[in-house]
Amino acid sequence: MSRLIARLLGRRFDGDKSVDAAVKVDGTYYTAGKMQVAELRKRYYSAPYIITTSWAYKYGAQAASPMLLRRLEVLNPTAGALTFQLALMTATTGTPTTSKAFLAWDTSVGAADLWSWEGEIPLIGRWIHAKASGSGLVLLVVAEEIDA
Amino acid sequence: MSDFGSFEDFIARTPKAVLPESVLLLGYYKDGTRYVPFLLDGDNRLVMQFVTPQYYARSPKVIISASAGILENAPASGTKVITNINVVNVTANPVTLKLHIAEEEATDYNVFGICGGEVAANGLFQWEGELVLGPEALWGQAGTASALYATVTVRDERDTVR
Repeated sequence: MSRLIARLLGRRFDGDKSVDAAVKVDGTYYTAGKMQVAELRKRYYSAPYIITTSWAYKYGAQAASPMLLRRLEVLNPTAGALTFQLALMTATTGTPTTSKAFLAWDTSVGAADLWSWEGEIPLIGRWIHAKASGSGLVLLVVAEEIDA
Repeated sequence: MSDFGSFEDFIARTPKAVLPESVLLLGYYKDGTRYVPFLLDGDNRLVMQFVTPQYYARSPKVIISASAGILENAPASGTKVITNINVVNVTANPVTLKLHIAEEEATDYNVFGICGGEVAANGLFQWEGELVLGPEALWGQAGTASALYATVTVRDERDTVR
């Protein structure tokens, strides 16, 4: 848990007390003034995965603990171009077809180069599967926790 | 001394006041009318919890070519927001694409994002923003059958908290 100092606007009373009088907003009283609050930051997740020449799931989340996909990178540290495919499946098993194509399909990554994507896609009972034309590609996943 | 031991457990059973910008203001609910600060580490503190709007699970969906087809229906009531549209071309040739935001009929008068432009061979078209659904729906039409697959990110409005 991280913490920050915040100022909430309200009616001050009783001298230097750190907590001030409640202020009514939309029918509810809120205690306001300068006070210390705790900020619950969402949990972030990032990890690299090796992409092989066979379909395999790399990352995903159950419906009960969803994640928000923020960034993907496919990195090619080898000396030759390679292609890769990504699929979004509702299970960790199975062989994806084009109907599950997700962000990239037979996409080429040059030698010592990378492919990247940024955005937001919820993973709610969804799993990313990946496959490459040869060995050597690495998939970096960055995701953020969202409320279930 | 604190009012609670485990902060996370306490949040789960604490009344929450919903504020704008998706912030929950947490406090000790007193007399059924007001929130007062927690006693935490010997100090009086309120707690803010930043929450995310609800997102909805979606899978890739083919964009049909014979005519424009609905990619994301309008919500039954109220509105939802599309924040990302990712369209991948699974073929080795460029494919044209039109996207529409329309209530009843997709026409050239309600295109957005890309209006007949090409998605590169084995390439990706991405639209980012905040597109309001309801009563309008999201439509798409591809220039080639079974070539383009869209993954749409849909969430509730920002001030919706669950």
